[in-house]
Amino acid sequence: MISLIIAVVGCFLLSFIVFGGGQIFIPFFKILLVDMMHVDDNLWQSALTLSNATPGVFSLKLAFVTGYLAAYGEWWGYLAMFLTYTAFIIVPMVIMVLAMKVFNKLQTNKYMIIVNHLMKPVIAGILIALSIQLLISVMFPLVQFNELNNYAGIAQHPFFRDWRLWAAIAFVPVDIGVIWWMTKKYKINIIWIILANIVLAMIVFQPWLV
Amino acid sequence: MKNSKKHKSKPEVSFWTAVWFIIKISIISFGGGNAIFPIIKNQAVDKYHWITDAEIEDIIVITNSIPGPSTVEAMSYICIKILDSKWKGLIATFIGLLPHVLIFFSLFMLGTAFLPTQYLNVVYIAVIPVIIVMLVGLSMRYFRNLNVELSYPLFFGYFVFSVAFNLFIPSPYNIPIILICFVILIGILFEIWKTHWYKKHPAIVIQQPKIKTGLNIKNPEYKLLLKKSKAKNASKTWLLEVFDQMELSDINTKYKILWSTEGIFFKPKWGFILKDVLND
Repeated sequence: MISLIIAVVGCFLLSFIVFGGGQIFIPFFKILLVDMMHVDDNLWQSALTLSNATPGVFSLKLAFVTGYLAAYGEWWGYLAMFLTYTAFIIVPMVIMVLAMKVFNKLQTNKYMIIVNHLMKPVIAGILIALSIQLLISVMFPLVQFNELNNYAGIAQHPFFRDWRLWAAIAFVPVDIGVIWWMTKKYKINIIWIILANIVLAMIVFQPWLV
Repeated sequence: MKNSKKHKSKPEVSFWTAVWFIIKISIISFGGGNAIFPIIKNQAVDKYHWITDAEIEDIIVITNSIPGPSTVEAMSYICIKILDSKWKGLIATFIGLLPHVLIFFSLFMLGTAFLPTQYLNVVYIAVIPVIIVMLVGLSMRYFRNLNVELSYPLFFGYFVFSVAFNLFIPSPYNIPIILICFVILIGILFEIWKTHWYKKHPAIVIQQPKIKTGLNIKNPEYKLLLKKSKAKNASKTWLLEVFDQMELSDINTKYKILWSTEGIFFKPKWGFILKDVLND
């Protein structure tokens, strides 16, 4: 039961102290799960691998599984995971409601206007930097660049190796060009573009081949 | 939000539409964090017109500078907006984010051995190019009011700094909040110093009169000035009158000439500044 309290309070606090999203949460969840709750290292590793591989909100998935791991296999783990999920999700919701209130009040403030102008190049920079990093990760799957605790490195990708590596290097720039042209010329729902692209990638990379 | 409370009209969007919106986005979003915003923008702004372009820009700024996962924050904002109620919006976000977490959990129970890793890899390499294109498109939006809100050198200075910060500061120290705090600090200090500087070296503002009288251009120096001033729509005669009032050498050495709809600015020669200061 103590582990449940640690898990719930831990998730609640994690949501408070971490800014942004995604990979930033990994070290904090590692401290909570491995160091404080003494969860088996293999379980932690598989939780990490899975939340990285599946789509959606990274930290939310880890918060959910924290509740299950807190029970060490007992039946109440299935209830506890909803508790940690709630504890984790409640913080950003409340903060967002408060932030919008403050933001709406300050909109006419002289310094707020300056801050707003300053934020434009900063956010544009963040988005461009993110797209560069994403481009490196798909176009050169063997290169690691500015990943967590691994600034730069080269390691063979378990899937994109041999002919698939060359296929990726050729596929990504052509694909980006085609998508760019399509979105400029036609107004197609992005969901359809993504689905069509998944089919195309399946044909190119043939994941059923070993 | 206060205005929407006052007139209790029927919400245009049903509760389950909002839930489905979140389920759909959470299931197709790879890349995490800011990479989800292009898809949110495409669906909520371009397709359903639930929120405006300006709102999504504000959301990105705000969620990057407050604690907590930014995706959840953005989704709860949109749900509150479209359902016109705080509680409904938050509950819709809560329910809408559950399915993809449950999918993850059932895969976790099955164990990593059953995970179709190679298929997920292919889905990843298919989704990310779409997100890259949309991210670039989204960031282009921030370049629209260029040179109106911030001058070119300042804008590109901050932009390059931001890109470099994100790429060259090793993760996890490259979180946006550090960058944002730093830029705000620099920006505010710069602003204070600039106002101080302008008190010492005031800009000369001359209003454009409505009636224009004839004058001939004879002095070659005038011609040069006219070219420099880039006064596309200003009446040349009026400009000449203005130049007559000032010493030509003074204009050339001390001032930069700017033309606007209200009049002509002889801005003290000192490059990059926010233009709204001139209106004070």
